[in-house]
Amino acid sequence: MAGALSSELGASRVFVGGSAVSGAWDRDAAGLFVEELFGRHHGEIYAYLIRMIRDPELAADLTQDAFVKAYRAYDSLEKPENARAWLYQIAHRVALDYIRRQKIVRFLPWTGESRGAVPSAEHLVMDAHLSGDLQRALEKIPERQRAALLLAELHDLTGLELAATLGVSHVAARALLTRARESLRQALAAERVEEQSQGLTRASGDER
Amino acid sequence: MSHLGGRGGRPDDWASPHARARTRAAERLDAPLAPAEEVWLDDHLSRCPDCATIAGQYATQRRDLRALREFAPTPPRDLWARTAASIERESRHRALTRRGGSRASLLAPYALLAGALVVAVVIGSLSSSQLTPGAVTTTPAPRSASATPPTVATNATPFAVSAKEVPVVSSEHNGNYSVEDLKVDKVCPESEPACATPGPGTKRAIGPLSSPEAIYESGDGQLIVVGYTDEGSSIVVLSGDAAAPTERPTRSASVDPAESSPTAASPDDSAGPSQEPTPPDASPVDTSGDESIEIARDIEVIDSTAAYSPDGSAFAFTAIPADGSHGPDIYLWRTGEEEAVAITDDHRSVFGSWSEDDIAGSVVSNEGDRTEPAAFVLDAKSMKRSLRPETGNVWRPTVDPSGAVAVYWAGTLDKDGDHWSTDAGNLVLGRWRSGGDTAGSNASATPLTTNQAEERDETVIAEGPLADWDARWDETGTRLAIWIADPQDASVGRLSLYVVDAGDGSIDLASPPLADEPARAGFSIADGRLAWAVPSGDSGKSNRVKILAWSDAGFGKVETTTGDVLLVR
Repeated sequence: MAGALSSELGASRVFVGGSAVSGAWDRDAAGLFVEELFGRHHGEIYAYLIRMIRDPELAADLTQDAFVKAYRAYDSLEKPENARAWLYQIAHRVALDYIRRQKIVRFLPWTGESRGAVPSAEHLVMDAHLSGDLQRALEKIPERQRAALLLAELHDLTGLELAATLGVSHVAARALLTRARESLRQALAAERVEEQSQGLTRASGDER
Repeated sequence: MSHLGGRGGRPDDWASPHARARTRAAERLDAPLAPAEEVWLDDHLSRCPDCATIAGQYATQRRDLRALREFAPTPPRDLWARTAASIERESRHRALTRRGGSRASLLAPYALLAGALVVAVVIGSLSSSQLTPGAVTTTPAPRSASATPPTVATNATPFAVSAKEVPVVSSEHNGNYSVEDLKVDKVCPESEPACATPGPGTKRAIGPLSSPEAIYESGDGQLIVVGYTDEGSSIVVLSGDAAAPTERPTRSASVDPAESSPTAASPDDSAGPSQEPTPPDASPVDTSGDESIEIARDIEVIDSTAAYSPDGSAFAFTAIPADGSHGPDIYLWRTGEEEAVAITDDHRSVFGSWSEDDIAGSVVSNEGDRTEPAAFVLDAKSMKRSLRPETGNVWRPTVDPSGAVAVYWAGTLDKDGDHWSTDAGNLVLGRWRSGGDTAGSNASATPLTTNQAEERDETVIAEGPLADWDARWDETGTRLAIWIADPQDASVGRLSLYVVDAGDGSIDLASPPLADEPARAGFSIADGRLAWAVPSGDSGKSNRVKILAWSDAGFGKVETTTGDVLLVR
């Protein structure tokens, strides 16, 4: 039971950092490990997912999903010092999986907008910090590039952490980030051209 | 998006000096360039306004993005509780699978399916026999000639089946759930499985649910939701029109001494309840409108055999205490009652199926180390329990609508704590009705004296041990769907549909209309349709519902994609 697990884990909050994590899968160790990981990183993982998905409720679901996957994959982490990047990698895959499914399923088309009719408080606050054109531009660049930008600029992942998260080499991660900057720049320029075009159209309509 | 241009370590690798400058300008934001490259870039930018503008745009983008750091979204307060609950379920699942199926049959189906982003549940309508109230008769359902397996249609266009609906429960991210009745009136032959899709149906909101793991429908709109909480299973009844109070069953069914046999499988009546049952409030509970009532908690529902009675007036299931203090008992809830009550108290009984108005169950011997099960029939009104020693070692019988045959585990059990799982034996289709017995009553309670397989005309469906299974009949008793859990992951398994001969009750194992189809735990079979969820790979999720429907034209399939996750029950 969750409550039992919580209390059990809460009785001994020991992070396994510094000791080898890999080896035979151990329920108690995995539980302790993930709880500690959750305590340290759930806020930033949730933030990353909300920035990728732009849906607070869904981001919460995916955060939960990511930590369950971390629990499941506990024995795949070889170096405890890489736990943060490892967790980001899991969350990143969770996000991409979700986005891909939406594209395939076409049940809820990916628009980058919350599916709720009324924007949540989180959404409103987030929007207040992100200009409309930058927001739309971010949504138009490839997901992996968007992830690279968010991870590097907002989550302070180092080059090696970024590479581990994205599952590529350090060189490839840098190249991806560079492409992402250029993609965003072009998308932003396109957004502004479109905005100007719409402004002209509206002005023309007003004149008539 | 255009590319930045050729990349390379040497200056002459670049498509142009501008491409080189723009790339270096972007790269410089992430890590220092080589000193020579820094000098070159600064020099180029000082002489190239366009490149300098782009470099400035990169910097502006970075500034704007980093401004977002000020926004720190606050995770939901219950995020850890939800996550811990999912982890606990995962933990228990791993424990089960590590034990090679031990206990999996008891816990897995309900314990693995939470934390869903979007949940869709094809409701398992009615009882294991899937009778609709209007179809209930006091005599066995006739087995008409139409039970002969039709041939599979060969044309590559949809063909019509009787228009029926498959109810699907889906969840939105606001936590509310709704029921949608997928309309199925035509299906596709195997050669062209995508030639048609179920039509969208009307949706009705059923409000928020807490980690639903199985949903059952009474046939009149009343839903029972088996969910998961920190304290174990929670069973909630959602609205419905059939809220009329009924006679409350008394707890602790006792074995009729006259009917008891001297076999080792007889329940040990000395192992009575440790405390008197708490009688539910005698006043009926209004389950109409949007009301929901929790009819059970502090228990853990086990096995895949929970079911409404054929007339939809009662719901039976097997559960153990959430604290694991003792073994399983059968619980019963009647519409209108406030709570479900245990109707056995030996802590060794499990529900198998409804057999008309009776409950077909099984009990494990507690004599010494013997772990042989025996079947019984429990009158749901009088609570009189009659052993069926003549059936042999029978565990979890799923009796067909006519009461003639049943699917059950024939073999021994493995004891693991207070639970039992299959050990040596097989899942079989065997004779349930005894000679001279017309409706499954105990007309011939004579212990087996010969080989069980021969005497009960048993046909092996699957060799054991099995992590779990779920067997359900359609209302005609001529279609039998059997889901068998994967030994490594009891939340998924293989689903097959068999045709059972109307005359002699024999099963056609050689050419089933559906054979070993991957399916998540839980499915529905009714009205000429078998519906299940296709596993998607991980996290208990699925995004496809498949429906096999049949008519005189043959068998055909249709499928639909809904949300991220589908559960079928």
